[in-house]
Amino acid sequence: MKILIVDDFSTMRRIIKNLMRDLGYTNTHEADDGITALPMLKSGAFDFLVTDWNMPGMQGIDLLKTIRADPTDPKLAALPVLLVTAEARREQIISAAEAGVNGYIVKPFTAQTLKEKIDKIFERLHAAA
Amino acid sequence: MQPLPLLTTARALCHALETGDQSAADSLLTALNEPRSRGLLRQIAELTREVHESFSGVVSDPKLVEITQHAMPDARERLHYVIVKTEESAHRTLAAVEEMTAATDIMLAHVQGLEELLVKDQAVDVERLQDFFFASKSHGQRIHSGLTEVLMAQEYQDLTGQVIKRTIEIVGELERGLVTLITHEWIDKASAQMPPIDPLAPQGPALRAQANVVSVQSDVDDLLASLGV
Repeated sequence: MKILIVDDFSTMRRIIKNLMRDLGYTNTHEADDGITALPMLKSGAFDFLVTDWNMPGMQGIDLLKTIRADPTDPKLAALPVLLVTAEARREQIISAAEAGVNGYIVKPFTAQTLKEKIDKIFERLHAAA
Repeated sequence: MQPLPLLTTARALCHALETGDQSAADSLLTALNEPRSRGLLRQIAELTREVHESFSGVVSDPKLVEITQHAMPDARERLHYVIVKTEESAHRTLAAVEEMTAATDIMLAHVQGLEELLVKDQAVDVERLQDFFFASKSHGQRIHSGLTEVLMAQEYQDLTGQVIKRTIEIVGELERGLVTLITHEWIDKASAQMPPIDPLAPQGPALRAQANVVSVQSDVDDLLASLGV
């Protein structure tokens, strides 16, 4: 399982990376915003994207919309995406759901929450497959 | 009784107009207007001086000069310090956690190995036990110093807290200075012209409870479930 972690704060990327490792996901890669993440996602054959919302350059919500709308790469368009963000307005959560997000975690969060959401995302994907 | 100069001039103007003396009428009209123009000019001069004085008052207000020249750059520097310090402390803590996680994993592997040996052989290998104790102590020390490092890294809270407090004071001083400059009317106009708030624009962490902002993960889960996610 190849995972991309996108956050403009290196400390948050490191926290998520360590939590993912504890959950058994060791193949993690990092990007600091949507603009650097997009070419990695297009060429890197990733299986899962964990992204922040509020970042300079391209924001997480725009990264989500961009990959969902990609007509050239069906695997990328269907990539499971988990938003981990301090953004907590109802409109924002609804907007992310409409854009096709698979999970949404508000910061500050716990390791248990991350585990539950990731488990839920993959259970659903296996059930649908 | 001496007729008023104004009345005299007015009568002379009437006479000049009746007799068709245009040049005399023109000079009398100018004479009539002159005191009024002087009054208006005096008022404009007065206003100009007031405006000028209030602006030079702003520029020379020692408090505002101090804020713009020193306090604002200072506040920027302080906030930058908070970023640097918090990032540093987070990495320091994370490095200690990574180190302790590795030590714990090795220790657990040792315990499991010893347990398997005891179950299989039903005998205590003294040399193996001594190795186990030695390794346990060494890894225990690693974990202990890691925890001390995590403890010490929390110093950033005290340091950044002080810095943020000072920055809040500077912003408060600036606010008070600006409020004295702006009339309530201007504030009303300015707020009436504010663009509408974009509900999707990033807001950062919610600093306090607000309507329409979810506060716990379970609220997010409920909202998403209602949307079928």
